[in-house]
Parts: sequence; structure tokens; C-alpha cells
Amino acid sequence: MRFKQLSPTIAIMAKTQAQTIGRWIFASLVASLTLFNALGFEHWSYAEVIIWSFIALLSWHLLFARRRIQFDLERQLITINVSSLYPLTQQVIPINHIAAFQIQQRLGQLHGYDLLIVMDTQIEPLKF
Amino acid sequence: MQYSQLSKKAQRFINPDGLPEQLRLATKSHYVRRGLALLGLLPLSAPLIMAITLDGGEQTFYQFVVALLLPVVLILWAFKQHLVLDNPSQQRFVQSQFLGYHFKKAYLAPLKSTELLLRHDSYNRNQYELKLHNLVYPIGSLTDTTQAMMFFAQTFNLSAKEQITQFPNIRELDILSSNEQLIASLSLNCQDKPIAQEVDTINTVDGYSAQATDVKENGNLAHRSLSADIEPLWPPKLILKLFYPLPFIMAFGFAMKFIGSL
Repeated sequence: MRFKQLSPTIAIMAKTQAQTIGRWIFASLVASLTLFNALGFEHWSYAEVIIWSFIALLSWHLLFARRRIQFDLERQLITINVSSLYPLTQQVIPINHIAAFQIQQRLGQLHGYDLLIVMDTQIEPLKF
Repeated sequence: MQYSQLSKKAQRFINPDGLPEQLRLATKSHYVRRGLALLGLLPLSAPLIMAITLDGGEQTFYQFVVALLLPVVLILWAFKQHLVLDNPSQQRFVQSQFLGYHFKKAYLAPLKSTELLLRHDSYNRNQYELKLHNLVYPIGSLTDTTQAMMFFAQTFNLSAKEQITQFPNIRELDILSSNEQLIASLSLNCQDKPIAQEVDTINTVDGYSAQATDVKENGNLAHRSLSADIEPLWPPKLILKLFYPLPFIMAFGFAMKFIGSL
């Protein structure tokens, strides 16, 4: 993900176009395969249909789940939203309560690093 | 500060062999090798039993497997690597050791340049850890960690630093002052208080007006309640939320089955 400034006060972390298209193609392939299975349901037992619905749930989240990270200088907030057509979770970090940043080597990765936000009382990972 | 005065947890990290001239501290790769050797025991144990209990062609196969795995595990176990702090030569170096044979000294550097830093634990800010050169010891309570730091600083005459009272600024510590005094001055400023308040306390010590501190502390109360409110991004309840579309998908599945069987 890369940092993308939308206006003088607002910026987001955006995916590259290749990432977006790649994921969209893969996810729609999986979703259409799952949907295609539903045409043959008259030969399936109820237990099989229930198992299918769990796989369909996975492909739903693969298709729709997305995370938005927004930096708002005007309201002094970093907002992280996770949604999958309906909102899943949200985290709001007030910028002026950040005590420091910390860079930490990712476990098991030689060149991978995590950015952590150090608040007064807690440490919050910020992963992109 | 003597080795015997250190806490149990610090003693587990620090091996007293060779004191007071030198201290041999296990490096990260030493621990990695030990971990790999432990992991290697898992695939080794099954063929070992097979090689003993089975007979015929199968036994020969498992004997070969044991013959291949056993030396690997033994070599990993026997190969040691230490960061050595050496007092007589005033040097710090990394030395490998295999079955009593000592390899060449690597990464030689003057002992004085060794970094000794007391700081908050990277994962839990109520705990403390000690950073010595590139080794990190998550010791736990402030008293124990400070004691371990004073032990290093006084044994090898290193300069001690701390990153607690004025986080994230690093401050030099006086290693000649007594332990209790040091711990008191550190804990006065940091235990269960937000950072801004810690800085205030220091300001008062330095002679800033008490009134200003009061105002700042009042601000800190609101500050603290707000910042404590930040919820984790992935709360456990989220798993339930992930299943919200499931009933609709199931209903769709049963509808398709019903339509198909018409």
C-alpha cells in the first residue's frame, strides 16, 4: 500500500492498481465458481448445502472485505475502517495523543518492518 | 551490584560463567539454533522408536533416517555462540564454540562502545526490558531491570542510559549512585502515569512553577481517559460479525435446492 494525498488535509493509504485488479479478478473467479455450484443443488444433501454456505461466506469476504486507512489533519484523527459491504470494525486514533512511533522488525522477515504507534498507555500496531 | 543479587528472571538470561573477568551472553542465533535443535527432536523421535522396534527392511530404512538426523540435531545443539564482554582486554566480541573448541573472535569492538539501555517493553508498556548492544532482555519489573542494568554497568564500567522518564528521549544515568536511589527516581516518574505527566514531574524537580504543573495535570486527566479509550482493531466480537451474511447465504442455498427439485 502507498500513501496517497487526496486534499491538503486528508490522505489515505491506497492500493496500487495492479493489486486492486488482481484481487478483483481472483475474487470474482472464486465467487462465480461458488455460485455456479448452486445450480446443481437438487442432487446435494442438506449437510452439503450447509458446508457450501460456509465456503460461499469465505468467497463473500474475499470479494467485498476492504480496509480503509484515513489520515485527517483537520480533525487530527487516524481512522481505520474494515468493512465487507456492511461495517465490520473501526478504530479511531487521535493524532495529538501519539507519544512516539516505533519501528520493529517483523518476526521471521529479514526486510519486513512494522510501524507501531506508541500511545501514552498502550502500543497500537499500524500495518499497511 | 553482585550477580547473586539479581532477580531469578535476570539470572536465567545471564550466565555467570567466567565472572568477574568476562561475561558470555548467548546471541540471538544461538537461541535460534537451540530452537531448531528442539524442533529437530520431533522428527527424530519417531524414527528412533521405529529403528529399535521394527525389523527387516523397514528397520534399515529408519536406521538411515536416524543416522541422517541425529548428527544434524547434535551439531545444532553443540554449536554455541556468545557475545563476550571481556574486562582484561576491554573488548567486546562474538565468539563461536563447538565441543570445547573456541573459534576466532569476530566483531571486535571496544567495550566502552557497548550500548546499555533501559526502556519499556516493546509489547507491554507496563513491563521493562534491557537492551545490551543488540541483545534484548525482557526482564519485567522496573526494580529487577534496573538491578540487571546496574550489574552490567558496574561490572564492565559501561555508560547506562534510560528511555523511560522522558520517552522517547534517551537520558544518561549516573551509575555511581545507589540502586535504591535510582529506582526511586525512575519509578517516581513512570509508574502508571502517562508520559506527559512524567515530563511535568521532572519540570518541577528542575524548578518550574508548581502552578503550571497543576494546570498540565488537569489537562492530562482528560487526555488520559481519551487515549485509554482506543479500542483494538480486531476485537474478539468481530468473529461473530463475520458470520452475519451466513443465514442469507444458507437461505439462498436452500431456495436453490428447493427450486432445483421442483
